[in-house]
Amino acid sequence: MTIPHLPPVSERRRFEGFGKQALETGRNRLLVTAAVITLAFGGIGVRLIDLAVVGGNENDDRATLVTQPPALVSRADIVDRNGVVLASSLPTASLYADPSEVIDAQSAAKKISSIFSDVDEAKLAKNLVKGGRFLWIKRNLSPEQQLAANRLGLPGFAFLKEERRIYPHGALSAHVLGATDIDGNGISGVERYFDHRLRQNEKPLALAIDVRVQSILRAELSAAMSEFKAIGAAGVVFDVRTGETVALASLPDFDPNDRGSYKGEARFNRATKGVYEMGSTFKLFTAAMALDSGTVNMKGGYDAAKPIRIARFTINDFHGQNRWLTVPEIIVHSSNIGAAKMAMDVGKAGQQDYLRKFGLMREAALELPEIGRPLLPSKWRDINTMTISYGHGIAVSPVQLAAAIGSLVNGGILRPATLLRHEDGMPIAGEQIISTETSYKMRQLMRLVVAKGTGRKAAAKGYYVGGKTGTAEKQYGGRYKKSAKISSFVGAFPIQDPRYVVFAMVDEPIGNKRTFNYATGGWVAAPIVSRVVSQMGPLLGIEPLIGGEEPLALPMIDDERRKKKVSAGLIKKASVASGVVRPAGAVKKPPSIPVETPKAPVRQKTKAEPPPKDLKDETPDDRIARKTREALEQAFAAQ
Amino acid sequence: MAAAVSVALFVVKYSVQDLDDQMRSLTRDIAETREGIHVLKSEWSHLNQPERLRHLAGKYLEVGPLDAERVGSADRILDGLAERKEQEVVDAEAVSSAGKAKP
Repeated sequence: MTIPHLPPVSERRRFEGFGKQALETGRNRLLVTAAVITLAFGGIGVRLIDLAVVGGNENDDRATLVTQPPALVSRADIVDRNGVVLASSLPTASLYADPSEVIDAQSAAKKISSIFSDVDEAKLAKNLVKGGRFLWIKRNLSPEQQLAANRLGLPGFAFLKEERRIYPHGALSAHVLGATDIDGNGISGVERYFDHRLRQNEKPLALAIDVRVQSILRAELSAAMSEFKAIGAAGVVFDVRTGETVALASLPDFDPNDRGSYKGEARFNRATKGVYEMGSTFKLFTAAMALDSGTVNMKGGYDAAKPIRIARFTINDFHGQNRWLTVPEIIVHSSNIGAAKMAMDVGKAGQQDYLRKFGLMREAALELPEIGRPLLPSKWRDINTMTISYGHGIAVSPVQLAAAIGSLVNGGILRPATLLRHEDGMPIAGEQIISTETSYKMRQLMRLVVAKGTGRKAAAKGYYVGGKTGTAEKQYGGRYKKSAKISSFVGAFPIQDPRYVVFAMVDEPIGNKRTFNYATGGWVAAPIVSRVVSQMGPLLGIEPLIGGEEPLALPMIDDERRKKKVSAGLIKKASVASGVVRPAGAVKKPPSIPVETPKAPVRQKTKAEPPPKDLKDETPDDRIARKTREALEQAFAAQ
Repeated sequence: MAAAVSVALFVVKYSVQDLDDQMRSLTRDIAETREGIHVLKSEWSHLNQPERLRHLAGKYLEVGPLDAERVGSADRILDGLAERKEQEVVDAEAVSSAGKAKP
């Protein structure tokens, strides 16, 4: 390649000095530019490799965004222990208006009120004319309502995406769940207690409640409430192994879907907020503290022949036996005199100490805002120790009582009641408060009450229930009112290895013909517990014991005890026959309650002999066996 | 080379845009489906109210609540079977001896 127009060498040489300098400068500039550009491209190249091969951080962010879509609703669901939805937020639309943009207020108001019957036309027109920038028309529309409103095509009206809290089971566990206001803020119950948690964490909140058991409990309480024309009822089912509250109901209740029903008496949670003088169920605590501290044993007892007179008061027995009673007899006959004497032996300080351990002196730690503080005597005198021994002069909430009874039967460990489901494998908090031996004795005593005492109506088919009745007169203006009672029953089952405590309470029941006008715990509340147990037992797969003998060795009481002593030559036979042991007080006893013992075993041992005593109990197999035997006997007789 | 790169870039850009649209519509679908599931879960819970099921079962089915006699362990069934078998043997022997005894 030739370079054209190249100046002659002489000319080139002429420019040498000046030209060379210019060239040098140019080349230096080029070099600098090249270096800068190389650096820039190098940088880009490095970054490209970094992004494409090594992988940049930004990509990670994007990937997680796709796998974690934003929360659907701003409030988490509440579910039961099996994952059944109890409360959920559904996205809905709400209609609002911007009055400054509304053209014809009158016709708009007319059209709107034609769709929504509950919107007042005149009032809406007035508000629209008044002006402003924001006005709610109607909140939480159904999809059809939204469509209809949209079809009107009114300027100045628009929808806002909102949420509506719904409760698929209605009133079923109203007092546990509580309620929310129109803006979705919890105003009571779990909704309020866990308000923050429900907003922060979109994972469903799992409660300990089992809707099936809850449904049984509520239905039975409701049936008893209407049968006995009561003003209210409450019930608790408590798992003694974990402290979980499997069911908790208080009547009357409300439908949390319907804010109008959340008012007055229906808002009051009798099971947790209400505190009541529980009456005789407290004798179990008295017996437990006496047996545990060793002031008396199961064979020991107290003289309950005469009423106790102290200060202005007289302590008397309802089912008067008027004789010396053993500890089991005091519990079975629900003797106030015996309980009072037992408590006096334990002493004031001991009683307070035990009641504190049972969790009856402070409010329950249940996860609800509606928790009642127990009512205790302001000054604890001897008379208080006596009356508290049989459940008067101290008022506690049903949930406190259920948890405390749980500790009596589960081997002596108090587990605080909780509304949250216990995660499998998590350690269970609990405190040993009485010895396992005392707990065993308490189970014997509780079983005795149902087998032979005031709690016979709590017996359930297939399950051995133990428990105690309680009947207390309510105080009105500082005076006890005979006609206003709190009738309750607290039971535990299966009593040989308790799983659940079932508590039922009816507020101001009125006796009826069927109960011979009695409205006591044994007549009113014990049957509720019986029905709840016989329904929930099979449901939860608790193995029943059909037929057979009592699973616990029961201490002997009354005549059995005497008869044994007679046969041992301890008491003269005459005293049994002469009726000395059955004083006049016995006449006052209520009509004897028919015993609802579990039916005879389905399958009787069908040995070839002897023949079944009662043909009514015969099973088809028995009949075949008997016929065969009869045929044989005839055949032999003929020979 | 510049031409090749620009063509490639063009193709990639449009395919990315397509994918982006696809993703957006899928995301929308997912959100709608999730909302649907959410609503249906509540409805399912509503329809499964124990009280309602009890009522329906009473109306349309010949089943009642489980009672304690129907709950038990496998051992009880086995014991029962063994007992029944024993009884059958006894009965059979008795019948056959009776048959012989009869003239």
